[in-house]
Amino acid sequence: MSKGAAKRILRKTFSRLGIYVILFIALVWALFPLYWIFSTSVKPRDKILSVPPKLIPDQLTFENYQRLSEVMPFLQYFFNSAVITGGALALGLTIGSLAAYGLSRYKFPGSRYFLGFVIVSRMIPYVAFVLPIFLIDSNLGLVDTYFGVILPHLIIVLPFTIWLMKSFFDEIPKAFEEAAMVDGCSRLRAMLIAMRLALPGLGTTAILTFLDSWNEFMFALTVTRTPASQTLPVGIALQLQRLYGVPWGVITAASFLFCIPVFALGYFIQKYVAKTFVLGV
Amino acid sequence: MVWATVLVVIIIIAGIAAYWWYYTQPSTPTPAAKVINIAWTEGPEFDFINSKVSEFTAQTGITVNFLKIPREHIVERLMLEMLSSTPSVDGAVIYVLEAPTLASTGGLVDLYTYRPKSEWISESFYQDQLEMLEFNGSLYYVPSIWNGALINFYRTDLFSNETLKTLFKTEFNYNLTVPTTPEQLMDVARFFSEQGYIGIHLQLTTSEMGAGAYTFYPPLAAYYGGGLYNTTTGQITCNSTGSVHALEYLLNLTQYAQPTVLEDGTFEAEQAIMQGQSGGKQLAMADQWSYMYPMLPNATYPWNISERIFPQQPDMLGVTILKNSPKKDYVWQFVNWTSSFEITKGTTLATPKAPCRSDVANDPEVKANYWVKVIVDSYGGHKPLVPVIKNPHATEIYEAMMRRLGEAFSDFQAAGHTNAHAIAQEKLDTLYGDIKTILGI
Amino acid sequence: MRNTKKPILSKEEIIGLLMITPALAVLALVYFYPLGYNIDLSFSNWPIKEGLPKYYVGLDNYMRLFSDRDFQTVIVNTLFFTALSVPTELFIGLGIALLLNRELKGKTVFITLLALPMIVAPVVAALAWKWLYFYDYGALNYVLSFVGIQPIRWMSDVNYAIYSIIIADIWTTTPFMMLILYAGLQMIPTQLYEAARMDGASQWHIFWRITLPSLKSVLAVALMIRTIDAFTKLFDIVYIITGGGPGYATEVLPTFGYKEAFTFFELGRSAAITMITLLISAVMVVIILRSSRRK
Repeated sequence: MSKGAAKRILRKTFSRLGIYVILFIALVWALFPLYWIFSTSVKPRDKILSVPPKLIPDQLTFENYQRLSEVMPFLQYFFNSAVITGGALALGLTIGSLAAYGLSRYKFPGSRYFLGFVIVSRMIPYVAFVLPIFLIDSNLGLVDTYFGVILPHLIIVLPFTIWLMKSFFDEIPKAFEEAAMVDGCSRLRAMLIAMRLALPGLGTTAILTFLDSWNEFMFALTVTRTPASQTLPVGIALQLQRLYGVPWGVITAASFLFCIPVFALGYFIQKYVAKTFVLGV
Repeated sequence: MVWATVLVVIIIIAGIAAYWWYYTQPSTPTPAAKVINIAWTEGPEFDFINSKVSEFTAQTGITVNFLKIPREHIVERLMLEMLSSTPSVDGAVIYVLEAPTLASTGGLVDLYTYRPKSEWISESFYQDQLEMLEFNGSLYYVPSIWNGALINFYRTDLFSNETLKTLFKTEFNYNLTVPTTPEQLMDVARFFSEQGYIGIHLQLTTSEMGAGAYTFYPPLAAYYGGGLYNTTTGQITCNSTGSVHALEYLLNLTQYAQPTVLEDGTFEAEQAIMQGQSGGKQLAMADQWSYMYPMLPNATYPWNISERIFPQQPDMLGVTILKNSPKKDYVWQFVNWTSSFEITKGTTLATPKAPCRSDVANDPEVKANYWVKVIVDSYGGHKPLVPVIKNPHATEIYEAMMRRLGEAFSDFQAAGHTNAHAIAQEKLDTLYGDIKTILGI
Repeated sequence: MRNTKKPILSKEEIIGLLMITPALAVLALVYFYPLGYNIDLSFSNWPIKEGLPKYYVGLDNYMRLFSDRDFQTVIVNTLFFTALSVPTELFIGLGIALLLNRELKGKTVFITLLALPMIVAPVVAALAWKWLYFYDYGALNYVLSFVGIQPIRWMSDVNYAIYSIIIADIWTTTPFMMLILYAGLQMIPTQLYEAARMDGASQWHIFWRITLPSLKSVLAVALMIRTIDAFTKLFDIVYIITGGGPGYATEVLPTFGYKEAFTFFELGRSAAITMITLLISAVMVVIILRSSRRK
């Protein structure tokens, strides 16, 4: 092997190594806080606070996880979160996709304004919605019900769905449906076929809105009263704001379990999320 | 084309309006079930009452639903409930600082309408505690759920250490004792600080009404003849001589306390006492909450408690009745029950706190506890409880105070722990302007 | 001869309108109505604290806000936060995306794990960082002590508090930037690179002349979204970690609006604050769109 070639291979190897090192550092940065939550949740109660803090717990225990149900109705909260997010997604994705299809395929008066409003909706802090939404829920008798939380979650899900799905539908040329109709499909069938093509886009949207709804705190806090409808973020906040004697071990345990469905989706999210926004350009 | 759009929009709006109107018709009143919803906070007191509430239901036939709401969001929830046309919270546990704001909205029920003041007093409720919670002559709750006192915690081994005692005598010319006056406190704190300890661990926090603010400063200011804002006369007294002197004292004291404010208040304070140290230094004394007393045997070092030197702000939680509830009378029965002798005795013993009735304080079983005397003496006993600002804008005023105190502490530190008087004067003058703006005068 | 009247709406248009009707109905309820409610509220004063009903005060809320020193501090904080966070996220995200834009072993694993901070609930992220920021018990000061840095009062020192928020936020949102930019990079056809390399262009040259311009539109979208979010969605992190303190050091627009409404019961002011936030976000978006189009 010539000296030049050897040098180049050496340089390439080092730069490779360098890249892995940097990525590894980034990984530590990204994962350490999460590791810290997990390690706190497996420390026994009297070891949680120590000076100096123990990075690696010397005693492992699962008592915090066991105590979870004593301290808060964890399973109920988890179930509520699941139902509410599921409901918000089911409703929001259906209505939103329909609207997106309409916006993409048909020109009608006001369509541009509608789209504009949808984008602007993202610019309003959710704080502004809290009081009016509470009044609406209260007047409709929806306080402390699943639907009462699903409704404000639609504020998060709907505009985003419409915006995203429209750009996905825009990707499918109109000629496609026209061709299908020439082949003898009804209008409706052509539409359904187009929807099936956009399924990956729907998947992406679903994953992103799932995150927003699952993690949502402010609305759930305002329109719920009892564990009948309170979600897990609210449950965690409840424990955080005791007068004294905050059960940190239990809180971190609950937080960790709360994130598990989300971790599981992590793989899919990272695959789809990026492509999403790029198409939205 | 335009017409069609307008038509569609009108149809949609009409549809929504119809739906709305249909649902906001007052529903036929369901027979008032004997169920009340009480907005509640977690804690040992809750656990105790929860364990006893079945007795209440058996006696009165009223079922109680405890709605657990995060402490810091109760005021928000109550405000929303008051604005709602279908409220479903009948009573709530509220805190002494929230009471003036909530009371002035007119949304709370005056307990004196159920039982006149003279009867409350003859029932052996402490008069000064009742008057603490009165707003414009009406009483909105009694501190039956929580009545926390700040007491002085001190290290028994340090105070009986012969070497330290000799050193102290040499420097200050009197015997080392657990302090009972402000001057003594300053001396003792300084002494221990010089010896490498944290002289006194203070309740200075950013998250709970900040910077030594609520728990330490207002009563200190009152002690020296100052204050913040006098509700009766309408005078802003925050930069009076007494107030300035109080802040000057506090600033000077902080140099012998833990370095700066705590980040999570009570929680860190509890840990500091249990582990006996903070920031690498051991604690000699601490000005902390009474609930910690039963934990002391498990602490790393030996502690005991003594009467607090300074007056106190009330730290009270109790049940209030919401005016737009159709079940007010039932909630009153619940209020009555939670402030009865048996239940008050139970909550007082569940976690050491000041009782709200003297018959509980004098009960032999209660009195047998060492901490009762210390707490009762500290909390309105030898020195009066200092009233909260009874103005709807109280919360804003306390927040402004917290800010300026925080700035005073920072400036004092930056100046190398000198110039306390000038800094205090300047910050309190600024606070004067703040309060004027808040009150709109 | 008969005049055939042109139909008011073509069949197409009717169908389109019908399709958006359900969405429009729901949005009318949960979005347009609250928006209108807020606009109305921002022009009024509602003295709940005195038990009085609402009345109109025109632009009074806005005028008083603009001359309020605290509000000015809040705006400065929010702008400072945005100015520091967003570019940092961009740089780090771009850097990592570039690194990932090669043949690497275990790339999927890397990407999935690096995306976790973004996926975790803001409440949980805020909790995690609060734990790290404690002076005595927090791991951050402990780790920093290994490199000789004195312990810092992250949450209670007026000078450092804002950085605690910035760092936590960067942690949460950098993966978002990373993923978007990565996808954008993946979309650049490799032929461009090959052609440039055959022409003897240096790495640096390739980056500046080919990579960056191709990413332009993606960058613009990412920037737009992040900037809007920095103004409107900063709530959870600030609320849980510092609560806006010490003093007003970390008070930002969303938390300030929330406090005004739900701690101080100043509903009119709070509505005005949210309207101003909306305005500022809109302005920023327009600026970003304009500048991306010009280049």
